[in-house]
Amino acid sequence: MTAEASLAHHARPGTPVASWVGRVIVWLGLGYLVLLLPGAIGGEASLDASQAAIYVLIGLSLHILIGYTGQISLGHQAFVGTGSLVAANVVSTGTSHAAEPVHFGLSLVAAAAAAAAAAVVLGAVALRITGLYLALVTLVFGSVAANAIFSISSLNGHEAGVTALRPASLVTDYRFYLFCLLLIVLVMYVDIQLGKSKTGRALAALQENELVAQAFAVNVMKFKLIAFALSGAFAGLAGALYTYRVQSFSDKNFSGTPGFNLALIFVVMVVVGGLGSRAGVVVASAFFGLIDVLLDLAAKHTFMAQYYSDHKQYVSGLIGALLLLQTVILNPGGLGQVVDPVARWLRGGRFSLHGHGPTSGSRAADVRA
Amino acid sequence: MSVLEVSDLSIRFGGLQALLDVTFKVDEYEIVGLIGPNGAGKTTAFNCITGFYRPDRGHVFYRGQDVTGMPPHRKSAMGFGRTFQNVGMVKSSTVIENLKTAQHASADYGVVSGLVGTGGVRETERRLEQRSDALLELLGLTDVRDSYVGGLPYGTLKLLELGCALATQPDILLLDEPSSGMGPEESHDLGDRLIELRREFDLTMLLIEHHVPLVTRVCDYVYVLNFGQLLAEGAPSVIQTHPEVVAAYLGGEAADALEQTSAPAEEAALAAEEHEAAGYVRERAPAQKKSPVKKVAKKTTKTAKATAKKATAKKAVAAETAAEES
Repeated sequence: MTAEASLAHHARPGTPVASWVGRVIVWLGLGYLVLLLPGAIGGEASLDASQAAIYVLIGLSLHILIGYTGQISLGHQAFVGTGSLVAANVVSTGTSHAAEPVHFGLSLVAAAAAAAAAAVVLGAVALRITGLYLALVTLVFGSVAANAIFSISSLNGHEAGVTALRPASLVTDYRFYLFCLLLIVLVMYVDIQLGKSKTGRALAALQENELVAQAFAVNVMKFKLIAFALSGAFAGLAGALYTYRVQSFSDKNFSGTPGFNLALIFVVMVVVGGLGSRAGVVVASAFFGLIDVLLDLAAKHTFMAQYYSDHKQYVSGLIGALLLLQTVILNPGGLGQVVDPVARWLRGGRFSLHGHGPTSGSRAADVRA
Repeated sequence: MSVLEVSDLSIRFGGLQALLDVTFKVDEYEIVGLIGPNGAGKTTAFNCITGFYRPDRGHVFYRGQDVTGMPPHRKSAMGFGRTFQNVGMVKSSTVIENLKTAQHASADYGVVSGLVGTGGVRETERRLEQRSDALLELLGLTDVRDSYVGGLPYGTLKLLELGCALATQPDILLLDEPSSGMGPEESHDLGDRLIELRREFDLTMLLIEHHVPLVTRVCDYVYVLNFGQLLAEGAPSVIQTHPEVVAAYLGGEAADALEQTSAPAEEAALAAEEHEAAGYVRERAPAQKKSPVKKVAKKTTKTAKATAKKATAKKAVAAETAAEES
């Protein structure tokens, strides 16, 4: 075959070259959207984007429990809050000093460790419970922890909140947002390794059938606790970023009704994202992190503007509820059903909407039960 | 020293004495059969041995070490491989994933290094994958390697489950009805395979089995359970003609065999033998009808016989439904 002929062969649409051009374009588009756009818009955009990033971290964290292990947690705001509280108190800079990088790093580690410890405590209590009762226990744990710990006034800064300024290198919102992305990459890497290692397989086995897992020499109790610890650590990390995003900690965000709303949103975004679909969870979490901003944008120029601003706090919850219903009844694989094929294609695989194994529907059904 | 020794094993579920003073042993390189009518306590014995149940009384010794009450995951790591009656695999994972999961104890890296993804982890994972592929090839199942377990036919699943049990690197393999859902020819092949696997992996086996020809062919020794108690023991040929066993168990099997009209020649010959045994049972059958059948375990052979026949008849129906489903 001559060089010319081979070139002609490769240039035909649908051949590797053509589809790789398509992939590169989509990658570049995504890169621009995620990396550069928030900086380019300016204003509050980077802060909003870092909220989305924090939600993505929380989504990945909760996905380890719900998606991998089949353990529901309706108290996840407690772990995020614990991380938030600890980070603020470790780094607490009084009023005007930027945090030392060392203290900042230390506060992240401490936040992750404290939240992991809290999650292990809950996990140990919940080891032998599943389903409805587990949901109930985590719900109570979440609100009790939130109301008891976060209201200790020496820790929460006596009503005023604890100031926690970012280190000098992260002082602009855009840089802070990039730092959040960095942590997402880190957490995603660990998450991917988790799936590839014996831990991921052990969790998949014990989620489906604890007896089989035990016959395969999996220590079910130990690996459930590992899942809780890992999930808690990521939630704590997200909590620390939550603090640094607004550069203060306030217990009001995590206790009472706002805290409960958060817990619900977290669960909803994981289920809507699709259990077992990392990419779906990332997209859904980012969406729920941005939902208020998007609604603001959408409502600003319409006749709904007044109505929306009057009922703001209900609208996002309503949308979450509708998406949840939509997912559970019509689309049990969640957003992952759509996002996963795209993600596969972007990695060089073939684009196919049916694909890859048993529908994650059966796993979503576990949550329904 | 025996690989497995069980002494005075007893367990009670509410009003049901599921096992009472069961004592038996499995020696090195033996294939021992554990037979008995449905509800005799065979699977319960398995669960006590592998740690899923904690016996009320009695002991389980593994190579002289008392392992009673040790949790199942530690027993599995120690060398107890087992299969389940209804296929114990992770249905939402692929075949190769299952085989790797089964090698959990051989994945000797820490959880944290697994999360970091060190070179050692990758090396170990490669080793697990190679071993899984070797097992698949041995069982002739390479072409389902990447299929999801949930979608595979029952016969394949039973064989795969055997593969998973082997992947746990067992010293003693406990198989719960390995031939269930298989036709006569498949179960004949299974017999060959078990003997071959024993040689290949230097295994000791304990198997629960209903399929009499398989038991006679592969087992070196047989224990018969009935109503939670040991009824008889001996070489398969002895057991086959043991009057009480025939009464409690084989009689019912023969009745099953009568219903199977499409059995191949070899099976038919065996069935014919069993028919004689059935005749023997039936001659005595009218007498027992006078005594009411009770569910409570009784030593009287008559009652046992009647209940056992009922139980095996039920089993035949269950097996048929299972076959239809698969």
